[in-house]
Parts: sequence; C-alpha cells; structure tokens
Amino acid sequence: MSVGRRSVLKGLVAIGATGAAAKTLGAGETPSGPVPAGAGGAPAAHGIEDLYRREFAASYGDGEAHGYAYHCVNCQGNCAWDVWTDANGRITRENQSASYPAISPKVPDANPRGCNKGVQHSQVVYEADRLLYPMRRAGARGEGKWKRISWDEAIDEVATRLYETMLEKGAGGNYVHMGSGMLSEARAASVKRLGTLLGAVRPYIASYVGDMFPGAGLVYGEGNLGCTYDFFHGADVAVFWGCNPNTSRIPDAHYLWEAKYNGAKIVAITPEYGSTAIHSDLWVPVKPGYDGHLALSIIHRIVALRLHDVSFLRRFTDLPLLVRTDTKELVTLEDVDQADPRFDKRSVALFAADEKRWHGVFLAYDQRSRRIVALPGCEGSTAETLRLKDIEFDVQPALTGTWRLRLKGKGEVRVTPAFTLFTKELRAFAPERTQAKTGVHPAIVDRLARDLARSKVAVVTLGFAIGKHFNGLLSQRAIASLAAFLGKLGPFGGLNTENEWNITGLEGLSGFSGRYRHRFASGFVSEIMMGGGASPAGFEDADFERATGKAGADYLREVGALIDRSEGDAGEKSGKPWWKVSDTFLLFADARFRRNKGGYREAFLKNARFIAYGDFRMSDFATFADVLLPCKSSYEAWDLRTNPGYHRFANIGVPPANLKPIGEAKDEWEISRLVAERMQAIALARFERTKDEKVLRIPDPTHTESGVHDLSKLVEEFTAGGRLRTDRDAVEYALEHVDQFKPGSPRAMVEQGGHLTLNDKAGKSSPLYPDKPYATFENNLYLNQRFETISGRLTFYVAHPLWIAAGASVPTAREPIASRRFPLLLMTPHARWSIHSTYKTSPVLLRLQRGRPCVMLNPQTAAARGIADGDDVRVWNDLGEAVLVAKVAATVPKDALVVEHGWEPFLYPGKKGHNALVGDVPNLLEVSDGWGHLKFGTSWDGNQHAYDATVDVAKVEGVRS
Amino acid sequence: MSLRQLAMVMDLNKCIGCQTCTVACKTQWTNRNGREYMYWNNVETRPGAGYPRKWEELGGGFDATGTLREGTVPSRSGDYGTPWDFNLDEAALGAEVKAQSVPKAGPNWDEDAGGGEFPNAWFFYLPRICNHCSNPACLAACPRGAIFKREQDGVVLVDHAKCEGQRYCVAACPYKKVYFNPKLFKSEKCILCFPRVEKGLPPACAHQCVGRMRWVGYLDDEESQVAKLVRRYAVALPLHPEYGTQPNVFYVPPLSGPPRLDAAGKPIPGSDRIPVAYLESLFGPNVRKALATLEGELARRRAGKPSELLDLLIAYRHADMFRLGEPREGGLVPLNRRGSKSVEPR
Repeated sequence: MSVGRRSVLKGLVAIGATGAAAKTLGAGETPSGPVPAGAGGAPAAHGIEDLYRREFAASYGDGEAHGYAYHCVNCQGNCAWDVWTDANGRITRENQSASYPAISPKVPDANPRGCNKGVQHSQVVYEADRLLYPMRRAGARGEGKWKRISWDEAIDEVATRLYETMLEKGAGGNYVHMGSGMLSEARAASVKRLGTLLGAVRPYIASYVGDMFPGAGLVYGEGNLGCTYDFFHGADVAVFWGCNPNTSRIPDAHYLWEAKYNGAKIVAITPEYGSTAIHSDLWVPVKPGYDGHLALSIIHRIVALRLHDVSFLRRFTDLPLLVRTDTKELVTLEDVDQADPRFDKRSVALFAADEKRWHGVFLAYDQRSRRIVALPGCEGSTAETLRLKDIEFDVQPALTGTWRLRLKGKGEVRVTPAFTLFTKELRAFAPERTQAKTGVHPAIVDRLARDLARSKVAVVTLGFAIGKHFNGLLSQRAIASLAAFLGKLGPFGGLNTENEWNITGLEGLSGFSGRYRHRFASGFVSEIMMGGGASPAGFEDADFERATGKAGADYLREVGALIDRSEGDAGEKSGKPWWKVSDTFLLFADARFRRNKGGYREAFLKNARFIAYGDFRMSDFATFADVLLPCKSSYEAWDLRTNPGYHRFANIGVPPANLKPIGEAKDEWEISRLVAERMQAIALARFERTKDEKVLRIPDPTHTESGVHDLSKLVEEFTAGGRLRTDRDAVEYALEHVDQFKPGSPRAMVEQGGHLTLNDKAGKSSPLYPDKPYATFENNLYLNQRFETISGRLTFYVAHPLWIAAGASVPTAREPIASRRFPLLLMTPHARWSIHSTYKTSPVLLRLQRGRPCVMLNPQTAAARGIADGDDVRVWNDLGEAVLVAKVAATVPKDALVVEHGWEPFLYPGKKGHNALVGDVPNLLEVSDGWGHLKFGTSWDGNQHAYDATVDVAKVEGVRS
Repeated sequence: MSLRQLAMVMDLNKCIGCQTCTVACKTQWTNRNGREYMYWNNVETRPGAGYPRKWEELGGGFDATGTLREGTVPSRSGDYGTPWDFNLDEAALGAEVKAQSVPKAGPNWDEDAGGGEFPNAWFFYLPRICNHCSNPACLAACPRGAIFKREQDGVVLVDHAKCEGQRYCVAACPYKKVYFNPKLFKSEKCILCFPRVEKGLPPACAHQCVGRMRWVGYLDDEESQVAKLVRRYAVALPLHPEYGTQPNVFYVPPLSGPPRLDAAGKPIPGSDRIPVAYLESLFGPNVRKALATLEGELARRRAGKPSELLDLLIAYRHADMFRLGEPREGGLVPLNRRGSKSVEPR
C-alpha cells in the first residue's frame, strides 16, 4: 500500500517538522501553524496493548465462574446470555451466549439473540435506584420518606396483613400478583403459588397490560398462535401489521431481512414510517384505527378477483353455517324439526349422535345431497373431525343460497350461509369506498390482495398496537379473518400473533391439582374497576355515537350492567370476573402506575389498605408502597423460561459462581416461603390463644377443595413437603417434570450455553420438527382436527346476542372513539429503549435517547405551532397535560404524535405522565361473554386501550433550566 | 503498513438501529476511566447530524494531493454531548427522575427523525467504529508518533507512552473516531477489540450484533466473507473514500426502500425513496453499481435461483461471520461449551 505510506509522509511534510513544541488542541480548535513531527511510525512492543488486554481480562474474569441468564421481563424475547464477573464477584458485563444450535443448513440460526436493553442489565444492577433493603413507608404514600427495616419485620408485616384480611374479608380480600416485569416459568411461579394457596385474586396478565389478542382468539379459538420467527425464511409474503419488529422484536428481526434476501416480500402496515418500514418492500401508511377497514377491503378485493379458495372455506371455516335471515341466529340441530324432508337425518347418526349436545351442532346445505345436514367437528358433534369426505359420506357445504327450513315449534324460516351475510357486509368495504378513511389507495389494496392470495406461503403478523384502539377488537378480528380467509395454515403460514409452546408438567409449580384455586380476574375489567370504573371522561356523545352507534350514557349503562354481573365469587362464572373486596396487595415486578390512565392511581390508592411491593428497582408505583421488598434481578437467581414461542429454546438462569450479593435482595421463592411460614406461625399462635377453629381453618367454599384454607398446613403445602423451597428447587422441578424439556438437566443446559432445545412434544397444533421452522395448525390442515371454537372451524360468525345487536355478527369495522375536538392522535407504540417501563430509568439507555420523555411530531405540526426540535412542549387535552421534549420527525404523520410507551409518571415534570391524557371506555363487545368459545379465559378477555386520546401540543418555557 | 488487515463489513440493509453494538462496546470499554462520554461504536440515523454532531463538517483526512486537511476538535458538550447524570439516588426514595444537566446533544439525537416529507420520509441507520485505515490521518497528524498500526492485523492504536494529549489526531480523523480522554490526558479510540480477537472472540460490536450485519475477517483471506463482499462482489464500500484514509470498514449500501407514494397515495414503481445522490455522497460513485448488483441478485433469488452473494448476506451461521484465525495466548473458545462448578449436583 505505497499510496498510503506516501500520503502519510506527505501529510507529515505538509504540517511541517520544525521541532517546535506542540500546542494542545482544545474543543473547537483547528491546528494552525507548524507542528513538530514525532518520532515517526515505527512500532515496537507497546505497553498499551497489555493495558487493553488486562482490561479485557478483568471484565471477562474467571470464565468458569460465569453465570447464565436471560432477562425475565415482559419483552418475551428470552435470549441466552453469558454473565461475566470480575475477581471480586461484581458483574462486569454480559455477552450473548450465541450458542443456539442450527436446526437446518437452509435456515439461519438464532444467534446471537439479545438487544440493547439486555446488553446493559449489568449496569442497572448497580444503579442508585436499586432497592437494596426492606423499607417501610415513614410518611404519606408517595412522599418519599422511608425507614429501613429488617427482613423479619417486613415479612411479619406482610404476613400479618394477608392473614388479617383473610379473616376479615375472606380470601378474595388479598390480591397477590407477580406482574409483567417478571415473566418466567420458574421464578414467577413462586408468587403465583403463594397466591393460589391463599385463594387470592390475580389478574390475567396479557389483558391487564393491554397486550392481548381477543380478536385472534375469536377467529381461531386461541389467541397465541403463529410461528417461530425462523419460519419467515421460507415465506413468499410476510405482512407486519400494527407492529414494528425492528424496534420492539429486536432479537428476531434479522429473520425478516434474511427472508427478504431469500426472496420474501416484506410489507409493513403502520401509520408512522418506522424502523421496519425502512427495509420493507412495501409500506402502507394506514390511518390509525382504520386497520379493520383496510383488512376488510383486502378481503373484498380477494372475493372480487375470485382468488379465494372455496374448498378451504367450505371445510375449515364456519362460512357455510346456516343463519336465520330474520334473527341472524345460527341454526343448531336442536332447533330443527328433523321431520322436515329438506333435512338429511342421516347426518345426525353420522355426525351428531348425542342428542344432549345438539345445541352445539350447526348446519349447512349440502350441494351433493341437496339437503340441509348437521356438520361434524362442531362442539356438540360426536364426529370430532373436519373431514367432509370419507367412505360413508361426502358433504359439500354450500357458501351461497337461501333455503327454507322448519324449526321445532317455530314454523318455517329462511336460512342462508354466513358467507352470504359476510359478502353482503363486505360491500361497504370496497377499496374505493374505504380509501377516504384508511388513506390507503385501492392500488395498494389490490397489490396486497393478489400477493397474499396468490403466494404459497403468506404470513400476517398482528401487532399489539391494533388492540389498543377502542374498536381494536374488531380490527384484530378483521385482520385475523383476512388471514383465515387466505386459506393458509401450518406450513403455508396464516395469522401470527405470538406462538406459545405446549409446556406440560409445570402445574405443580404454581398450582395444587385443584386443591386450591386462585381468583382469576379479567385483566382489563379488574383494572378498570380498580381505577374507579368505566367513565366517559374524555369523550362526548358524538364520539360514542360514531364508535358505537349509541349515546354515551346508554352505552356505559349497558357496559356497567354487564360488569356488575361478574363481580365477586358469585359472578365469577357470569362474565369477566373481578373482585371488589380486594384491598390488600402483595405485588412484585408490577409498575402498574405507568398505565395511570385518567384517575387510576387516585382510585387505586384510595381503595388499597395495604401495599407490599417487591422489585429490584424503585419504580413510580413502588414510591407509593407501604412496604418495599428488595428483589434479586435477572442475574442473581435461578430461573427457567420457555414461552412464548418466538424460538424453540428454553433458557436457564444460573447466577455467577462468585457473585457477591447485592444489598439484602432476595428472590421471590424465598420471600413467598417466608411469608407462608410466618402466616402459619401467626395463625397457630392465634389459635393457641383463642381456640377458635376459624382463625386456623378459614372458610373458602368456592376456591378450595376442602372448603377451607388450613393455615396449619401452609408451609407443608407451599413447599410441597419440603421439595419447593428455593429458586433452584423450582428450576430442578421444572426440568424433572416438563416432558418437552426431556432430556434436560441444569448441567446439560449450561454445557450447551445456558439453554436446551424443546423436543417434538412442544408443538400445540403442529408437530415441532427438529429441522423445520414451526407454524401452528398443521394438525388441523392435514389431520382434520377441529379448532377450539364452537363450530370447530375458523370463526367468522358470532351469534352472541350483543354482537348481533351491534351488527357485528360478521367481521366488520367501526370508527375510532377518539375525540375530534383535538387535532392530533396520541400514539404510544412499544418502545425500543425499554421493556414497557423496565429500564426506563437506565442512564446508559437514557443517554442514547433525549434523556427524558420525548414526543415525535411532524415538521409541519411543529412549524404551525412555532415548535423547534429540542423545545419543551406541553401535550394536553381536557383530561390533563404532560411536558415532554419535542423531536421533529418527518417519519410521523401530520395528524398524530408519537411517544414511546412505558414512561412512568415520575420521569415527567411534576410526575404528570402522558397516560393521564388517555380516557378509556371498555368496549361492550370485549366485555361480552358466554357465547360459544367466547368465555372468559386466556383466549377471551379484553384490552385496556391506549390510542384513544387526541391532544394538542404547544411550546412551553421554563420547565427545565 | 501492516502485514495483514482485519476488516469489517456492515450491511446497512440488515441494521435495525437497535444499538446493541453501541451498548456492548460501552460495557466492554467505555463505561469507565474518563471514557464515559465516548462511543467508540455509535449508530446514527441518516440523514441527521450524526455523532459527534456534524462530524463531516469538522474536517480532517487528506485532500486529493494527499495533504492533510485541516480538522477541528469537536466540543464535548455541544458536539459529543456530555453524558447526562441522573438523580437516581433521590429517585431511589421516590423523587421525580431528572437529568442533572439539560440534554442538548447526544450520540443518537436524530434517531428515526428522517428526511423527506411524509409519507415519503426516508432514513437509514449508519453504525460507525474506527475505520482502522490503511492510511490513517490520525497517525499522520500525531506530532509524537504515538499512533501505530499493528503488524499482525492493522489495528490502529494510540501508544499512551508517547501520547501527550495534544489532540492533533482528534482533529485529523475525518470520521472523528479518535477521542480525548480527559482523565488520562491521552487520546483513545476503538481498538477493534483486539484483546478479544486474540482470544478467539470477535469484536463486541460484531459478535453481539443481533441484526447479524457485521462480518469480520482478514482482507487477504480469500475465503473470508469480507474479502468476498469487498473484492469479489464489490457490494461493500468504504465510507467517504474521498477522505483519502483508505478505511477498512466497508458498508453494503441501503436498497432504495419501499416505493414512494404519489399525491393520491399510489405507489410509484421503481422510485428511489432514498436519493441515490445522497448515498453517493457517503459511499462514492461505486454505490450505483453495488446497488445494481444487489438488485440483480434479489431478482434472481425471487425467481427461485441460487445466489452465493445473498447466501453470504443472509449469514446462515452466526459463527461463520467471523474468520479471525487461530486464537493466541490461550483462547476462550469454546466459550459456552463447558460445564461449570456452579451447577454440580448438590
């Protein structure tokens, strides 16, 4: 490289070699005048190299002492890390294990899973906001005055409060919950175990954070479905709708761009131009809240082009099911007068022999026999298959037509397949008609329809942002319906939300084989009620009319009546359960005040008699606790995690061998066991004193097998006879009992780099092949297994009376509720820089942002208001205001603001967070319950909403100096 | 001149802007000892001011005749951004969390802000480390002769035994990738993690890159991916070749992005969302040819034909992205294939 050498010499000549003393350059300075040449560039041995080698060696420490970890937070990433410590047992840093085995030469491996948050956990472990000692509040709640107490004192107070509440209010008085900050299988089971044993209330976690897919559960019978991310590598088209994987699914995002290099077309559908859109082949800037309209337009186009697979729709969907044209009810076998000659009685013997279950058997018009038949595969069918052709039968359900049918005692009615009603509804969603709402040109709709319907493998990934709109349930359902309509299952793709593995054998960790049951609350309903109940705040009648077709007061009355029905032990089976009686809280990893919508915090604190809170750091919520319990963080405890199924590996947490304890932090297994021990001791002492049986055996007829919580057996029960005492016990229990981990052991996991590969039993509705990416519903496609829906089929038709009344029995879409009195929609997508609120206070990460809550706004929005980049701005509406720093961004639409979610109120001036601007009305359809598979559970609950606020923004002076 | 040159290729089509590299580098090297403000690795959103702010306007490098151009030392608070401290000790009791100084500049200031006009906004991510140039301006400018290239791998280092903290190197580096350490009163910079490489572990920014967009290898190793991408396919280009320093970090330029939309919202086929002229201003005139090669291979792949280039860029095996030679001085590999005392059965 003679050129380089010459340049170097020339350079030296040019700046001179006079031998004069060199001047030192300061900031902003430029060398001027002659500078002396140095000794030249003739390197010999350099001490500097050893300095850096020593630094590296110190950071790496003794490799034998390294720990293994993932981050047990609510990002669902679950990545294997190697945790390094120095010679003093202090964690220095983390480095991805990067040792996942490849499953096939044709599929990119999963290494080195991780992200910008995981890679700095080592730094926050020692930050000044770490909780180091148990503390008791010494002033008013939230005042910031604390007294350090011993663990004995802390445990005694918690145990006493839980016990007294059980005596006074019953088991439902206690609310014991491991929050979304700790999603793992082994560690999180500790608090669940304690709560279950005590019959305490705990909410469904996905819906209490607002990250649930009820619209997917409606269509597929299961909200958690889809594929491992390596599946995209074989896709022809992959649509990412209402999500931004490059920002919020960081460990897996590489699969998208590797798939693109492998020939896949990647489509991003989001209102803002985000980090995923930049690499996509097509970006669709849909207007926020109109995703459902767009999805139905695509279906409209598919039907218009006749690109739909009729044989698939006949066999795998409920679209052939017969509906009464007058009442819009689905006709069941129970309704039919079987003497009607238009009905084929043979189908009853073949498919639905059990008369007691006829209310769960649906009908179709068979084009072969030209008669109406009962169908196999329905919830009430005795033939549990979707097979329509065999030696004995050959049914071809019609998708169109109208027929007459005689019902028992009701005379003759006209019936038509659900498909007819659906295509009728679709007329309102012709691409030319929806463009004004969705902002999407019909040419794009046409492109999407053709690409999705014609490709062999197409995946539609549904993001969390969709469900955060008031009518997001309908949008989720419309998108799920589009995926179902494409006729893609198993190896051909279809809908993707979050795949979940079938992990069996863990029940014994958090449960008691039914001897005790926790009080399982609806996440969104219980949170809304804890926050003071459904309120119209932030909306006017016009908003309700537009979004629901009803006046606000009428709508809220209807919602309120439904919610009231499902309150308490008596209402548990009547809808979305919640317990008014709960006022004593033992919470962990649950920074719930980040979602402080409207008056939530005020109402929560007013109701809460006692709040004990465990976490590794101070959060906004923690500042309001009565007792604080310092917990270990991810690198300090044993743990194990599998789900969700973005990949096929289970990761282990093993603390570094030489780790020096951090403060007095304990893990939740120890804390929960200590609480159980103390409660038992307190109860026994009380019994000793009073001889009153009821202080030891607390009645609970609904949530215990024996009718009582026998506190004299609490420790025996909690520890399973001494086997479950520690975090490590829990990990070993899981490895022993989970079939899908076989043949796993802690030692084998560590030898592989901190993980194991799930075996073939982990697939729920498809086999997990050792050498192929996973996608759900292969068993349905190839083995004709029924879906977990009332019809056993992909569900387009909902005959719940409330849905029929709302005109939503077939997939449809509704306007957003957001008020039009303010010009800008407040969008709060999942963050790049935090896992919800976790890591929001990390200085390492704040320095890579703007150092405080930031709002992104379009240059025109900013200019019209005299706002410059970097200004402090006030974002406000009728409900309140919050101050943030403005970032002017061409990537944001003119009618919206973007604030990454998760900022806790105490990060804002005056501790006024952005969520105080968000009103939230529960959606009647999300509250509705009790029809078919729409029964409260992990596939049917609802979301709190976050994208319902419109605001304005203005420059503000003097907030920060 | 070094005997061998270790080089890095970064594929901007795979960069997701997550900054895992930035933080991995920080915990490995720059969270201590006067380096706190430094980001040996940074990722900047382009268009944007970059890090340090407007570094391309701060001079340095060589002119067409090979003469050092004038350069300016960036300002700590205005250009790099002082790393803000926070009152976390007070927050630990429940106080409002506040930066102790008003954030005015930082290493990721323009994140996702982009250029153009919505909906035709555009941006991409540009990760940057020291280029370990074959003709380093920092080396040329040092009056003390304190900067040298290691023979075995071409890594550019500042010898603290000779450095007197005069900062000519800081001004001379046109990429502004040499930093002044105020605590040591010496210059410091990215060392391409040579102590890791010597132990068989790739540089932290590359090994820990979850976008799998960084390849590391020797340019004279024909089997290395860097050699193939830089030489055989010529799709990886140096940043600002006109600076004359002959960088050894190369970039696969970003493809044009999703089509632009016309006033009615209809996609304009074949439209370049990212202006090619902008890419040329960064990567030189060869950018058009590199993009054409990529587009051609993509078309082949979509037609179901094989492409060695795209297989390379896909990077099926993470471990294969690094060809570092045999580890010296007791390698750490296999890093994760060992038992540990901590899990002996009780």
